[in-house]
Amino acid sequence: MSSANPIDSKQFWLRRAGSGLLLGMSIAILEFAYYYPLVATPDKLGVGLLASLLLSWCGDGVLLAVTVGLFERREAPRSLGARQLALAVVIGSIAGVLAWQAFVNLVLREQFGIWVLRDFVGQPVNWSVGVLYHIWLMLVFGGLAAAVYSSRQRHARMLGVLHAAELSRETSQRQLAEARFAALRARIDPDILFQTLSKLERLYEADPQGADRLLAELIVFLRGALAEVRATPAQ
Amino acid sequence: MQLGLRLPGFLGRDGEPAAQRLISWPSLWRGGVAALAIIFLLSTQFLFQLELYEVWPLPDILHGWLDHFLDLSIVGGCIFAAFTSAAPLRVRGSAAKHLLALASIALGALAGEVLLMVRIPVPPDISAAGMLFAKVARWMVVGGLAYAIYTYLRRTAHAASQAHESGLQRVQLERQMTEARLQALRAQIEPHFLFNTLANVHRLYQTDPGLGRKMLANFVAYLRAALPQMRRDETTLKQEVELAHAYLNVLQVRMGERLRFRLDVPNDLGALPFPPLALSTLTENAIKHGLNPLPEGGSIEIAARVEKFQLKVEVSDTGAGLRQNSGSGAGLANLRARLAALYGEMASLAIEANAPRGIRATITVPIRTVSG
Repeated sequence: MSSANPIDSKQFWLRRAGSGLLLGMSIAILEFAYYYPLVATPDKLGVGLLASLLLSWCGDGVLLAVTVGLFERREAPRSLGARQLALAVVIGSIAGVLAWQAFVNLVLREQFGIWVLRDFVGQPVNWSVGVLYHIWLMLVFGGLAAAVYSSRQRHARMLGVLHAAELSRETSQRQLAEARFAALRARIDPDILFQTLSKLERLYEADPQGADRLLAELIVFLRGALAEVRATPAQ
Repeated sequence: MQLGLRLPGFLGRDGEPAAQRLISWPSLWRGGVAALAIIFLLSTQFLFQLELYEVWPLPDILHGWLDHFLDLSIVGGCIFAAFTSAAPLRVRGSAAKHLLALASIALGALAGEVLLMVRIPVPPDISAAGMLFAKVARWMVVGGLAYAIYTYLRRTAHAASQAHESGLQRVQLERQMTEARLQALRAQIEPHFLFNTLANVHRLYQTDPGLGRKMLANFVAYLRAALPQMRRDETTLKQEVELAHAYLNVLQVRMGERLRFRLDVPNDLGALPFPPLALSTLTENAIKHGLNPLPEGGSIEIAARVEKFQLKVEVSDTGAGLRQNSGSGAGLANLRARLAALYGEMASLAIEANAPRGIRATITVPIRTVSG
């Protein structure tokens, strides 16, 4: 995920190249599995076929992934939208395949004699025909992989949103508990007070001195209760 | 990872019937459309074989494409059927679940490709097993990617609904918190008044027992009115006015000539519902911040009227006025929050300057019946 390491760091580009390599390798292995029974060559040629396919597809994959990385860098720190990602995949597939297949066919094959798939199959090599097939495969598999990447990022973002929401809910819950506790602590039971005052009223008629003492006690008690209320953080 | 398969129809771990976990028709429909889209995409490979265009006329190519699309649809249909029948199975752990999904994709692909091979046999010089393996592997990659997208999308939707739920709960909690804080504040005002009054009574009984008795009687009357109010969400205007009256009576003994008050509340409005202690808050504010700072005191008038299907209750004083009105902010803010919690946008609290001096505070609430 690009959020874990900053865009344009060495690690970022290594990750992009790695995912491109993985994409190219998967396609190469699939292609190998498909062509190996068709080619029906002696066993030692199998390794050569696999190596040739890996060379051909891994370059496509890496160039596609690096193109997506370039788009991401341009958009940083925001992450790519779905439309931009699709554009990056289309451009990366077409440009990457054109560049890499030209390099493989015109430089590696012509200059250094390295075989491409059609040399193994025994068909005349017309690399412009193969390019279209490469582009198609990169578009489909690269597009699917990009869709996985994009949905994974969206999922991670949503998890972040969920986490924040849970956190603020927890905070509210705690604050509510505190507020309820404060309300409870601040309360002087009105029933008891009411009874005491009624008693006081009657007592002042019968025993004014006793009533005076009771009232003085009540005031002392209330002073204590008031101090406690004041100590409660008022919001 | 051990696969703990359970047949649908058993009760799940959390006790809910497993039948609820069966795929619903809308999601089955959406999944089918998505699968068809992927198959269509894969079938376009046929059109990208440039060498065909040199050999075949265009109608034949289109026909071949259709054929290829039907072939892929047979396999894709098998995969979809295998996946949807495996999805409702209950397994322990997400790894086992993913494994089950991939296995169902592989099985579906295998079945589909075998069907195709029955339809068009493989040439004898090509290994059928090798072909099957290559094709199933390819379907596994496509299906695995599609499954990953599906899983992330589903989890994202789940997380979004959880976040929404959590947000709703938070709003409710905050509303309750406002209530609790208001209760705390209410209880904080009480003891001040209580303490001061009782200290006054105590002093008066020593100097002027008659006045002390009167004050104590007034105070007990106030408490009698206030007691039921403190535990309710809504009372009537009559009860509120009685409470304010009792409160003013108590203070009248203490303040004497410095406090004059007048109540102008028509009897027929008495039965209208009114938020508890709202009037007391305004009256207490008028005394505390309006009249108390002035040596000569002043007068307080409480008036109620009905205007445009709204009940308006005014507390006006001739006290110190707005500029010295510090410290009442929390009480008024709490009153506002309380009105908003009870009535939403339909209630309001307006504070303005009174002529020639003092403050006029007006509470406006919508008219409802007591039971409502």
